[in-house]
Amino acid sequence: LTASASQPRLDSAAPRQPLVTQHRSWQIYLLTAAFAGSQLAGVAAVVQAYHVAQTTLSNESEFAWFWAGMLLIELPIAGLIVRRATPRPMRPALLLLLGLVTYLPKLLRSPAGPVYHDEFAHWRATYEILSTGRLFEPNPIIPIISRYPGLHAATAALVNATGLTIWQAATLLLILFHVAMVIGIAALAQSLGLDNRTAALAAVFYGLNSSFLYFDTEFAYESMAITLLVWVLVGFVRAIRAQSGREKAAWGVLAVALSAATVATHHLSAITLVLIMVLVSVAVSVPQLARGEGWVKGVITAWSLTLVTTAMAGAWFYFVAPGTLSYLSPYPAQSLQELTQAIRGSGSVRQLFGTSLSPWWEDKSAYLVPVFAVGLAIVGLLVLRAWIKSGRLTRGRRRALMFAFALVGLAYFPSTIFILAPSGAEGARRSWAFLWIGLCMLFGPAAVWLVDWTARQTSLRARASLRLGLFAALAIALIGGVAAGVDASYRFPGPFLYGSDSRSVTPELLGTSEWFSAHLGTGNNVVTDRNTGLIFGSFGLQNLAVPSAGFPAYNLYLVRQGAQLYPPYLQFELSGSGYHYLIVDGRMAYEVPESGVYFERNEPSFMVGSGGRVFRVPLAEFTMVPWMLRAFQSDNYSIYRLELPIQNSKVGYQPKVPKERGRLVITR
Amino acid sequence: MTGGDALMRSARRVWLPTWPLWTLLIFGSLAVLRLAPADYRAAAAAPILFMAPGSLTVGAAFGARHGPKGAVFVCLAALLGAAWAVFASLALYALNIRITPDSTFRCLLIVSAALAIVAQARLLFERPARGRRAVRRHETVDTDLSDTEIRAVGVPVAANRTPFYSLAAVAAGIGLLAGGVFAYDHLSHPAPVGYTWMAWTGKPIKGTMSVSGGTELHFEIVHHQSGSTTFHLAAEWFGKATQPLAKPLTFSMGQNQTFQGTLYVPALPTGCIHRIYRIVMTLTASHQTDPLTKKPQTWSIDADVQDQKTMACPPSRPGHHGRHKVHTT
Repeated sequence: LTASASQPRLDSAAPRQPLVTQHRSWQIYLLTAAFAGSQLAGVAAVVQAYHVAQTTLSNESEFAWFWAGMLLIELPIAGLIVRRATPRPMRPALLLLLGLVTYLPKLLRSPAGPVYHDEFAHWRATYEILSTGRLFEPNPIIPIISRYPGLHAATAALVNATGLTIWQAATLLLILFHVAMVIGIAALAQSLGLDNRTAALAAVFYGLNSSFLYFDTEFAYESMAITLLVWVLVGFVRAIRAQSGREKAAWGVLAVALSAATVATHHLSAITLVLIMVLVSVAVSVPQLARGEGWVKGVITAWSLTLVTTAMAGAWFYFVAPGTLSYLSPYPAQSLQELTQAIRGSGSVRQLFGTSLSPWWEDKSAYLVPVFAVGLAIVGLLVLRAWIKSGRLTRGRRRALMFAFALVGLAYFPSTIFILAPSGAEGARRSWAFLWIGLCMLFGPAAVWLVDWTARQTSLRARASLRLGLFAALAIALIGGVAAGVDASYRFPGPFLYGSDSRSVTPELLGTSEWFSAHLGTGNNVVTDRNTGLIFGSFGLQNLAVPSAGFPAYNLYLVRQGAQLYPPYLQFELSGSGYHYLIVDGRMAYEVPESGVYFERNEPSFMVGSGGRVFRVPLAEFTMVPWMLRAFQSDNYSIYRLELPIQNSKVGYQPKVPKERGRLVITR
Repeated sequence: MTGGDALMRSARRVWLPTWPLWTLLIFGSLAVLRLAPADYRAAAAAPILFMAPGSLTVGAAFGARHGPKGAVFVCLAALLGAAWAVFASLALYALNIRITPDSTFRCLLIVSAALAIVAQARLLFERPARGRRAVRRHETVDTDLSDTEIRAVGVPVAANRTPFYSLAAVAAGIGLLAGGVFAYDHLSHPAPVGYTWMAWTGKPIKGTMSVSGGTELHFEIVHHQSGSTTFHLAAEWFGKATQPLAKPLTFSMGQNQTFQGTLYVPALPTGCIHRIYRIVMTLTASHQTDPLTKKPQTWSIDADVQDQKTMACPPSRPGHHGRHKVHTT
């Protein structure tokens, strides 16, 4: 452009814009205003949902507000992305907006500090790095996370550089990971050769998975690792498909760097990454699928990167985190056993939404998600078939890669069965965040084909109703996807809920923990229940007992006056390990925890089965137990000093008490 | 050409050929930023910490050739920056160096310097030829490319409005997030549920306390409830038949009030016989019922005392009196 051409024309003789162009620009202004209005209204509705949830007793209005808001936010973004006339550069921008705005629910849920169970553990791990200057410090809440310091090290570095608090730095990082995840899915789809519109739509569909809004936005290692995993796959695919050696090397180096960070951050993500890379490498190695120009180089690149990642993960598991296998291995075997027993009729399956606080329509929508996914996946596979037949997906690396990612996605369907097994439900739900990476590579092309098919309808009415149907399906899938994820108590604030991981922290518990740290110091070994332990183990900086069948520390809560602590070795184990304090939440004798767990998942079933009644008499008699001294009591919490092992002289008190009188003085 | 355009062009002319060195310089400015006020420091330091090492890594990997652009470049660079923060911590740990703001910064500076050197070198030696004399390399189109990718070959990336749309989207997104949190924060929230607690203060009570000619036990009562409550405080010798230890007190406490108290324990009567007695202090709220037990709300704390063994006392027989030495820490 010349200088004169770049100058705006100010003379009145400038030609007037044609009427059609003027009309179009008005249309754009109206569209922009409507879009901005929908985003603002959506945010306002979500804020209202959280306000209603916090200030009123549980009803369905918070859910209605929430979904009104989320649909106002997400559907217009999806609509603009799928619109053919939307300029190409606008789609990444819309995805950036989607990534940022979909972080709002989590930001409103925990604006000032950790709320979810695992967040307390990761907060403590980060605090340990900042206070000790060392990695791999033991973690009292979730021991395994101390061996995966990626997230904690990154957060600590941000705290050190910026002077932000741990929670502020964590929030900043999580927003970055969440946005990068959305962009990463689109980048992965584009690296598979999908066009800008399809790739952006694939990223929108990824947002329907059950972990997207809440689970993978919490301050936990998976939130960071899954984003890294997606970007490793971007580098991996680009390296396989790159034409030049230098480009291959560049993408390969980035993929290795990011996979090293994944390995140091999260075990499950590292394992899944290796499995996906192996699957992709196998697919790329099949000549019937992938043979073509540059095939051999692609195969060598794929296997080299897979081997490097596998070696890094293996080395980490072996040298740094040897406990990983024993931590993860019981779940698959147990869940398979439970499913087998259920099929044979000797066991029962898990009741879905048994204790759900969500409204019925959310629960029902969750059942429709697999149906929606099956439908779109079938259309996606048919589109791929049509591409192959029409020569748009010729034999080569791209076809093999599409095939591999489709297989990853299709693994979602068998995984849904595991949701019925008590031990496998959590694993199945967590796997969906990974499997949907593959699934949305089928959904993108399927949705674009469906939208284009509706556009070909000659009747305006048919076109409008079909499009409305597609948007309704998207809305139901969005609602169902979130409902299939975390519980309503995780999603919304609200009144105290005993034994809930996310609603059991009260000012009283924080005050009790503060008193403990101020008067008895930090680093004490304490025995307490799961929810009280969250605060004592994090902000309180205490070390928690990890009860198990071999170390049944929960038996302390069943001690009766004059009775022995069972099993007899327990008192020696407790005293030998320096457990001098017992913290009791008195509500345990009257209420069953919302999580269904007082201490740990394998605790004796009679505890929950009795509705907590089993604790009632022992807790009332604690004053009479000679080796327990109550040093603190608030409305619900008591702190006991344990004098173990039990001394014979302390069994029972003198029958006659002194008659001497002292004096009691109170000052303000 | 406007003055602004000219300035932008000159800035680009200075920035583009030596951007790795400029980026390194920006990263080095983190040392100076530490002196800045906390609010400004965070806003400037956070993007520098992650973007500088990350973009240098991308630069070192791709050189002057086509690397990722736009949102993909920003996300990739930020994630690589986070990865470098992890690697720096691991390296410091492996070298047995304490992870501090200084050590982390130095480690990342060394990494950034190395990356900047590689990126700058590649920029210098791999710069594509320019001008009319430059021979256009014949590029064959890979058969593995999709239709979209084939169409994209040769399309200049800078010819679109990606940065404008993306910047606008980021600004709008951050604005919506901040606005949402601000609005939520300024709505009325339910008052936190109040509570009351009672606890021993002073030295932590560990085991049985020795009482030699009497002792003082200090305690604290904190009332975090709205409104005023009347309490009844009693101290008793605990046993099969409890005996009052001191004259009970009745008093009122207002919202967020803290009362300090002292229990004077008299000398025990039994001289050389080392008996252990339990003292129980109980606080009862008038007209307040425990919602779970449906009984009056009470709080209690305990202490065990015994008379201190003196020189005049005969040695105790093993197994008869149990623990001899009393410890108060």
